[in-house]
Amino acid sequence: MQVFLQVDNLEVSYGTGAAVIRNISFAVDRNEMLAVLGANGAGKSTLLRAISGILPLKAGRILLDGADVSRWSPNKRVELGLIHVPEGRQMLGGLTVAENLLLGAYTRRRERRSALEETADEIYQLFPILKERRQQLAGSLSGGQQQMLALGRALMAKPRVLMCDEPSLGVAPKITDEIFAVIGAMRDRGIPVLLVEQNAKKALALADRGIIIKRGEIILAGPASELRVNRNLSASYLGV
Amino acid sequence: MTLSQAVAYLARRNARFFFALLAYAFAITPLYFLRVVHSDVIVTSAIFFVVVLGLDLLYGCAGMLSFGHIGFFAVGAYSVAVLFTRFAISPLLGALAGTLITIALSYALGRVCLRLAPSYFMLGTLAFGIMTHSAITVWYSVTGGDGGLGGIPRPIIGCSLDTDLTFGAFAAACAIVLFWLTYSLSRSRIGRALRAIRGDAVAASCLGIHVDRLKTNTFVISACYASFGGSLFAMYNGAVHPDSFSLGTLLDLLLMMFFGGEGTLWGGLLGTTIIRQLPDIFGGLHGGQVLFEGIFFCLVIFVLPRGIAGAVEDAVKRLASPRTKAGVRAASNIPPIAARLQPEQAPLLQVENVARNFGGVRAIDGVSFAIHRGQIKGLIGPNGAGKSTLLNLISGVLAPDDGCILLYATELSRLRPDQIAKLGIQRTFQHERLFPHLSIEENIMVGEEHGADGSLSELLECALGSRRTLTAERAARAKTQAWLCDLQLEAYAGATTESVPQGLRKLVELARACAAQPFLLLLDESVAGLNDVEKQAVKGFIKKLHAAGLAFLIIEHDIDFVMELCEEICVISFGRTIADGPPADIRKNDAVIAAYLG
Amino acid sequence: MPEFTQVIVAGLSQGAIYALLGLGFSIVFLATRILNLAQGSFALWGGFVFLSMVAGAKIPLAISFVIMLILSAALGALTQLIVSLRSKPWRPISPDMAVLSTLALLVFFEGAAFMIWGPDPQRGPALENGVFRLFGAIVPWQLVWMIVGALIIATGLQVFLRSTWSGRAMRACAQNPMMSSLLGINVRRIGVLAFALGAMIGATAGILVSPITWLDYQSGGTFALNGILAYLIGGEEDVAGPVVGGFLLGIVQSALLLLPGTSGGLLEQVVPMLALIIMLVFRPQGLLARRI
Repeated sequence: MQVFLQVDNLEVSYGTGAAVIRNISFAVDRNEMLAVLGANGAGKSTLLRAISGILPLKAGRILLDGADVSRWSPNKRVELGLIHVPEGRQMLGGLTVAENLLLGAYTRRRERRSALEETADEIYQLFPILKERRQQLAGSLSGGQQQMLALGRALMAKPRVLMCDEPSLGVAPKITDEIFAVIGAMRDRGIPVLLVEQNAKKALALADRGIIIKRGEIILAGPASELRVNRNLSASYLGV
Repeated sequence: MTLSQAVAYLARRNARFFFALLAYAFAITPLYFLRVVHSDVIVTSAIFFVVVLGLDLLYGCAGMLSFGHIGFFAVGAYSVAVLFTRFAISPLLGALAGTLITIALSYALGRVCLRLAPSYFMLGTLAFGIMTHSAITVWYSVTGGDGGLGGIPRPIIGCSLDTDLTFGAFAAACAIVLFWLTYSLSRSRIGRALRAIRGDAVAASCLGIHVDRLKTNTFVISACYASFGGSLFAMYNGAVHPDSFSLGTLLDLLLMMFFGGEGTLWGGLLGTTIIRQLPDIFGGLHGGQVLFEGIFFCLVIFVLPRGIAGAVEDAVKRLASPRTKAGVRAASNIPPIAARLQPEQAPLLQVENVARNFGGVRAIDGVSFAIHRGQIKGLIGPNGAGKSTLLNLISGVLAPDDGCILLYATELSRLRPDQIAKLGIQRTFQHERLFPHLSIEENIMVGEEHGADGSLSELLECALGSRRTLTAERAARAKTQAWLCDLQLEAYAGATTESVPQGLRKLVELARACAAQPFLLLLDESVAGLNDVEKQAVKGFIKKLHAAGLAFLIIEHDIDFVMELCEEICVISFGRTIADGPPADIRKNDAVIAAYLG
Repeated sequence: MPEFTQVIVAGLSQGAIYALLGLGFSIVFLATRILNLAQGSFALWGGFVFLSMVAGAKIPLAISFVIMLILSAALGALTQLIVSLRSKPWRPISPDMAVLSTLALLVFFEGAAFMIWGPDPQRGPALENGVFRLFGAIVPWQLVWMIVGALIIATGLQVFLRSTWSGRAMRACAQNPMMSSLLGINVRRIGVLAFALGAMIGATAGILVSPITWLDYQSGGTFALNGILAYLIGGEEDVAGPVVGGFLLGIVQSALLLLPGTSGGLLEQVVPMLALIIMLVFRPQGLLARRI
């Protein structure tokens, strides 16, 4: 198993305030999905944003396939194959579905157009509804459809690491299942996946390992099978 | 408050005014006698200071950057000029006419532009500024076009203000009076309300500030400053010419404000004098000066954004130790509010079938629940369920697309947030929204002062410092101290919002909402990010308020917290209610468990 | 009929200039959300520099044009650099400060223009002398050049935005800069490109207008506002908007000049600005909806 994404002693803070991420370290291998769980405000989204470069690091480093990308700008990390599907879907609302997908392949723009069309067709097979609404503006899609488009757009780049931030947010359970199936398929194809989720049950059913974050620190880590039955987990969610 | 007490309080509060004036006088007098600075510079500085005061009130306090004041400056100047040369009307009356015209123009422009996003506001005002300049240049028959108008006499007040000295004294007197009034206003509740708007207009509205009206009135007043300055300018120079009202002059004015120090008001003294001194340094090379100013401006924006006065104030604040008010622990602020309310039966707040869309997404899809008088109700649900949207609908930040929200018999959906605040509903926000331009103490005072009407009479009263406003202010300050003590935040009273840790900022936001004396408090994740000790403190605080009769609607992700505190809990998922009842029932409810854990 | 034709042709040619100014403004606003007031300076300098090269140094037209394009692109890039000096991806520059800095630059360029070319108004040589008859009116070929030039550039821009990767990236940045960087787009470089393109288009407008209008060092401000007005009238469409808005504005202004006496001249100056303010009133949805 080769470690593909490695994060060492990350520390992140917003401006001059207190640290939001304190000393987080973990690694994700190929063929592995790591679930990142925790209550709201724990710092899960901040973690992903720091890894993809939208937020600066106060301390620590990020290794992508051996390369230290800690100081790289976000678009350079994307070129290396680090694809981040941020929370809230982040549509390019004024562009059509097809254009959104095409822009997903921006880092592959020097390839032949037919190669990109092939990838797009694969996406349309995964999410037929997107094919139906190809020429519609992305802003007019429903929540679930937008999430599918966001994921499809990420897949267009042929990611080498996939990071998904709360893909189930505001999405009906049935569509969440479809989306999770696709994410799982990515992992099966050998792409390491980092999945931030609030829906702990679904996430742990799919992932290989998990970490629980509370107030910017990892308080629990281990194989998904163990975490699934861990009492602390349910307690922190429903006080049961 | 007796008269002498009021005067003492006012003098102490406005101390900086006296310091600034004295310092300026001390600096300028020797420079004048050494002939480094000429009387011309001093007089025109006073005139431009009047205009910059208006600009700084508008931007430094309220955060609105207007490029149109050059137009009002022109209106004031040309009113004096045109009315004298065409109709032989005395300059002072001409100035009055100019002010009246400006009031009308600025009101119209304000109504149009103030509700726009900041960039478009700047565009609209810039269009006005350039339009006035073009009109002056082209409208030969009235304004004399490129030739300008001349022969304007000095006004006669007692004697004719012919010499630089006499007119200078007159201009300086006007400037000082306006400086006093403006400074007083900026230190009063209106000043705090304006800075609140600058920091966060939505939160300001939810605290009872009538944002639209206050912004419009402030805009009109600041335009009048510009107009009056223009009139003085015309009287002093004896002539007007379009060149004096071009983009170059606009940049001059902006440079004076920014270099001097936006937000400080007294920075204008520095800015005007130094910039007016520039032509002496450049020896009249118009192009070179303009070039230099352009670069200089960019430098100021990037290197010294707070200007000289701002940098001085920041340094002073850093050196001065935070004020710790030891001693008298005021009686607790928490008032019994039961007396103010109506009988038990009717629910306090009734949400009926409310719906709200965002583009293609139906965020709230027919939610109904009720909150009774003095009840603590919880609102929970998975992320993205629509909880914050509901709070926005109740507090008036958003309007529902369907359904209604009733506070007893009053329908809330058509009301502005500040109207809803005045009815007795207060709230906190998911990502805490303190006002960054106010200290911690001032933030809470905004709540304590119940916002602001924004009417002209209120503005006038605050500027003049009536005994009523001063008494109210002192009382508000005392009550704010009590709130800070209640939450053990006294040490942070004078601190800026950024220097306070996250958890305490949420406490301050909570205190601010409570200071507004609501009888229903909407809390949006008030304990998110707090450690256990802080959470217990908040819980205790909420219980105390509850005992006094306050009702709550609490959104929280910490389920323990909610279960212990709330009498009833409403659970929503995907914009719909899936459960509503006592905590014990919710805990066992299958649908709820499924929604959360999956 | 001849009068009518004169008005229409004059209006269209003036409108062509406004359209180009609007396009230049639109490109920058689209990609960076910055209201670039210095756009007017690009037009002014384009005209002046071209004039100096052709009339002063007697450099052939075509070469002058190319040199001017390069210079204006450089100027545009420099402007972007200055304006975005302090911004970072997680803390973009505030709109106040951005517009202020473009205003400062506008005035700076005004001063520089004064120093280099002095206060006197200038006018350039026509690109094409000669006239032809159309419906009984005499139409200088120059005007036709202007209209054709504007349409060619507009079409080129449309193709660029819809069919090239950089153009698509630019539209993506307009929608959501953060997401764009997560797609691998170098948002800063796109900004520089937008400014450079905008400057080139603006400079072209300046060149095209220099034969028929007297330009002086203070024309920058009016150019800027006319461009912005053209953009706003036309609505939010990135290319079609400024074109439609520009031509409309041109024709209205031209028609107003038919009014007798100086009132026409006055109105010609005042009406565009009034129209701008009116636009801000009647298209609040369109304008407010854009996240600035």
